[in-house]
Amino acid sequence: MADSIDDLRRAWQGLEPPETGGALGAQDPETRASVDWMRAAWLGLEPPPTRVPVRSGHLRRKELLRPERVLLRVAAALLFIASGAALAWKLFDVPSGTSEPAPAVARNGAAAGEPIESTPAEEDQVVIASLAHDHIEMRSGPVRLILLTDSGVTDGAASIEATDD
Amino acid sequence: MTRRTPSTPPGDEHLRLIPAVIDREPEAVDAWFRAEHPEVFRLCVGFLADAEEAEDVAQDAMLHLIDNLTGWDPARSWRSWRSAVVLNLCRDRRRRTSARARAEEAAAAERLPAVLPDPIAEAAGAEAREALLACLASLSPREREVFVLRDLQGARTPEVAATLGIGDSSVRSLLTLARRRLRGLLAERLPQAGGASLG
Repeated sequence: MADSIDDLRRAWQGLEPPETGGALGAQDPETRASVDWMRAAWLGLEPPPTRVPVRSGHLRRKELLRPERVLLRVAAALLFIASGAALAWKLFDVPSGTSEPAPAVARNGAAAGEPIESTPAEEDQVVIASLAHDHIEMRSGPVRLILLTDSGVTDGAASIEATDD
Repeated sequence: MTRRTPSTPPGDEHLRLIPAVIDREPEAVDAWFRAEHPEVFRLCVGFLADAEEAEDVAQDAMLHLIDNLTGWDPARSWRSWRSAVVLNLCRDRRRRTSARARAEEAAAAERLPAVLPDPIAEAAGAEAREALLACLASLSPREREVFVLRDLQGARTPEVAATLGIGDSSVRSLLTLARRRLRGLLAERLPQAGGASLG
């Protein structure tokens, strides 16, 4: 009895479901024709000429890169390098005088080491702590060069203003 | 490592080359690649409904197959294993391009000509290819996968189910939906000769 039941169970488990939904032959003519057309078109697909160096014994992903991709990557790398260079240039080449008072020279016979009077307009940009003996001081940032005569009077006509920013 | 030489059904003689391909013997790699690439490309076209994407993914798939040949168990169907590998790569690609794929799916029917070209006629190759892509794009991704494996590649339902990781009944349901949709798209456009039938 038990053997019979086992046999029956095995036979039941071995049953294959019918291909009712899968067999193309059971479909209507229009469906068959549509599927046949699709299959014929699909089988007619030809792959493009291979770019894989099939003669190479060791295939590597980089060997398969398309030329246009290589160009794109090179362009991106160049852009990246150029951006980095520009950024570095900006970071390390910005004038440091912007946070410091602009240089100036003494006017109207002020002696070296003496406090200098300045006009209100100049007060927020010019502070001089001392003067060098040659009355010339060179600094970065907005610079005003003023030529002094022997009498200590500023020669206004010869004054030169320059900014290097 | 011991490698079993795979048993090869007719038309798959190049599978005997697999041990040599694993050893990267150039001649074997060459022959094996040329034998496999067309079918892998067709699978990619079927799964993606996009020829350019398919070309790209097919190359990736070929490399992936070569690099993972040692993972294939010769006791398992080569076609099934290969289909699963290709399918996974295509799904990855589809996930990345899903927005565009949806838009193309919606517009697929508009790309079809009033009368379909004869796919066997060489002169109609490009037109037939465009129509094929439009039809494939009109299917949902799951319908497309089932239709490609079952009706285009010719795998049996259990094999398709195993490859896709779904049940036989789901395969049948999806196949029915795909065929119905294609019939709706194609029936009126088929050449009057009806000569596309391949049996």
